[in-house]
Amino acid sequence: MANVKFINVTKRYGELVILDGINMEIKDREFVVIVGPSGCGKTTLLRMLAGLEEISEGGIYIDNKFVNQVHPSKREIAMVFQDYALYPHMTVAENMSFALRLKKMPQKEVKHRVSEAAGTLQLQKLLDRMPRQLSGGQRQRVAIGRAIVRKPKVFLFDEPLSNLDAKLREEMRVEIAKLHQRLTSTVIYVTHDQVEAMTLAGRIMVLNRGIVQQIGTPIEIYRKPVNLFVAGFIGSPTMNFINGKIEINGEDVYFKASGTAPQGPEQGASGGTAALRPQVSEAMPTTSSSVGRNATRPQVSPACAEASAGREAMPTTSFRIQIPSFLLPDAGAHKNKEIVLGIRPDDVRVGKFSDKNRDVIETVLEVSELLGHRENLYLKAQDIKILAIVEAFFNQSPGSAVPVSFNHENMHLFDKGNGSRISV
Amino acid sequence: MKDKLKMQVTSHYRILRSPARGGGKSQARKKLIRNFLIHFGIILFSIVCIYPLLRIFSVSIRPGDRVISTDLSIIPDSAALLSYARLLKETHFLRWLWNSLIITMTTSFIGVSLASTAAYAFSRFKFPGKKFALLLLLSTQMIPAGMLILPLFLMIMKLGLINTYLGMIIAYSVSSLPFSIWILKGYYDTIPRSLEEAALVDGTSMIGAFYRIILPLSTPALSIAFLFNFTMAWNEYLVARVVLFSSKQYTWTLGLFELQGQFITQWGMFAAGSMLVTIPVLLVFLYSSKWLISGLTLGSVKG
Repeated sequence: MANVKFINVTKRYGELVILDGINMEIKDREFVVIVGPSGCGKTTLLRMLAGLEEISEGGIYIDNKFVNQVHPSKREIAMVFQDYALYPHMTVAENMSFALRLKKMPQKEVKHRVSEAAGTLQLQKLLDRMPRQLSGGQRQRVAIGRAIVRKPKVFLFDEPLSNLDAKLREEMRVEIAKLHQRLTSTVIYVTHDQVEAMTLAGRIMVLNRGIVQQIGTPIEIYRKPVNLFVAGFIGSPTMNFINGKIEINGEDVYFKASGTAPQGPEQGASGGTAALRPQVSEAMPTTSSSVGRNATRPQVSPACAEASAGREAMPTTSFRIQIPSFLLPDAGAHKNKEIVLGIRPDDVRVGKFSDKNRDVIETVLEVSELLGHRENLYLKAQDIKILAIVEAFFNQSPGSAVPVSFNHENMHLFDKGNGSRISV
Repeated sequence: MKDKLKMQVTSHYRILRSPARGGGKSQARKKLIRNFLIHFGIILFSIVCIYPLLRIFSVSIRPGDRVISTDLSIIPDSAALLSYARLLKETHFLRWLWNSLIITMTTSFIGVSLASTAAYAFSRFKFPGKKFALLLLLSTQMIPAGMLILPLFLMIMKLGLINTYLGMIIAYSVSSLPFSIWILKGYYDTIPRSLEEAALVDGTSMIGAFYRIILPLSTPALSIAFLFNFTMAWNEYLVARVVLFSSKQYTWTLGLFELQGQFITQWGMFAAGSMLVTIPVLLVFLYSSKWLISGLTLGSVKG
């Protein structure tokens, strides 16, 4: 087992910079997931660590040894490839023992290690089969087996589950987590699937366009995304982003919404909008009549009704939300600046407001998606789109008025100009 | 009740079947005609291919005075192996066969060895002039063989290799290499690079990955390249004509030509020789066929 260090690692193809000054230290026995969208450079970084790609600048250290010029076979790493890369002319046992036979390890030891790994991965009955006779999941297990028989210092996984179906992916994810607990080895795992990142990682490195966006534990990254890209990339469904401005009225600080910010990581990286994280909120199904009975809640405006009926030319009348002082202590510095409020869909509370001070936003239900135990509600407050997650079954039809409020504690504020986080 | 139900089911079945049966008949007729035409074509081409062989065989076993005959029987009356015996006794036929075999086998092995490594470099590495070199190789195949005779002769003469095996081997190898390189490069391109990368991580060198992983997976393409080299060198006449002078160094193509005199041609011996030279080719083809397997890389990567 060993630690891994990336010191200012850069990769260039001519003028094109693929990775720009990556710095990170991965501790011994740590499980680090490198996550990012396609083309962000995460696989290139892993391949550079494996020795399959040249390093343009900077240095990589494995177990405190500078390995930039070290041949892949001498780095004491094992890699599980995205496409399995099993040797098709060898049986499962031969595939798994290939590296050991190259090392001229005694036959007895080779056999012992292969049978041990086969036992862990339930491959005992498949040892004499050829790769073409295996299913996708079995092939992936063989690829993992080929890595673990070597007892390397560092395991590298390059999107190992991306070719498997959803059910198998879930099973293998659990298997990999168990394997890490058992082997207590250093693991570097590349994926674009944030669910894999969140569930497997001890720490996550979020990459975008070759630049490290954030390094932290899954919960840090989920709760305190440092910029719009991370906020939009981590979390499913994506965080709601709302454009607006900070207004100060005496002691009170307000966020005045002006429109929906572009959703998704790419837009999020450049633009600034407030973001909310969706979680299963304690949704209390509200019927039209119950809304109607609640005199304190605003009624659905004609404009909203028009919007819900699919018509356009809706007037832009924004809403205002009070920002708690702990969220933005230096509010004065951001007064009248364009910012983005982010809130995850599970922090959008629907139809239950015991707190009198809570800002209630009147929205209209556009579409609801029933996902079994929960339901996604696509809402619209004038021209601002909001996604909320509630428990199933939310018994409302499209066009219904749905009052919502945001969980103030989990609101995120970002500078619209540079996308960086401004809230605490 | 049961009978009634059975009748109903039967009649219903007939109704359902009746329109299909009419359509089925015409379809079956069409299929029959199509099959007949296909088989007729195949049989016709087979006859065109096989008849000359049978005719040569027939000539090779005819007595000397009945070689040119209008008799269509394949095995004539008083058939004998006299021409074979005379060929082996009165000429250097075995020597010619041996010469051909040595030149052909060496050419094939050298050709495949050089082409397999050169093609790997073209397939896997980036280097200046790669595209140009590939095009240059391809362009050599577009020049008619006759045009190359004189430069080849001059080159071999300057090397002092006239009338030697080595001269022939060099001449044949250089002319078959470009095609073999293109065949093998095309095949290597289909083998996923991740296999070599996995081998590198597992502990092989680049050359080790080539020999342990790539070559075993390339046997179909290697067989094709070998067969191409073999048949090309085995049947070649023009280059042999200008490089080889002494009868003892002749390949079989030159040797058989010697049987054709100014006033008389030994057709019986000529045919017997032609029959005998097909044997090595047949053996090589039969042996190579076991390597011509498709789908060797199945299961290696996600398809």
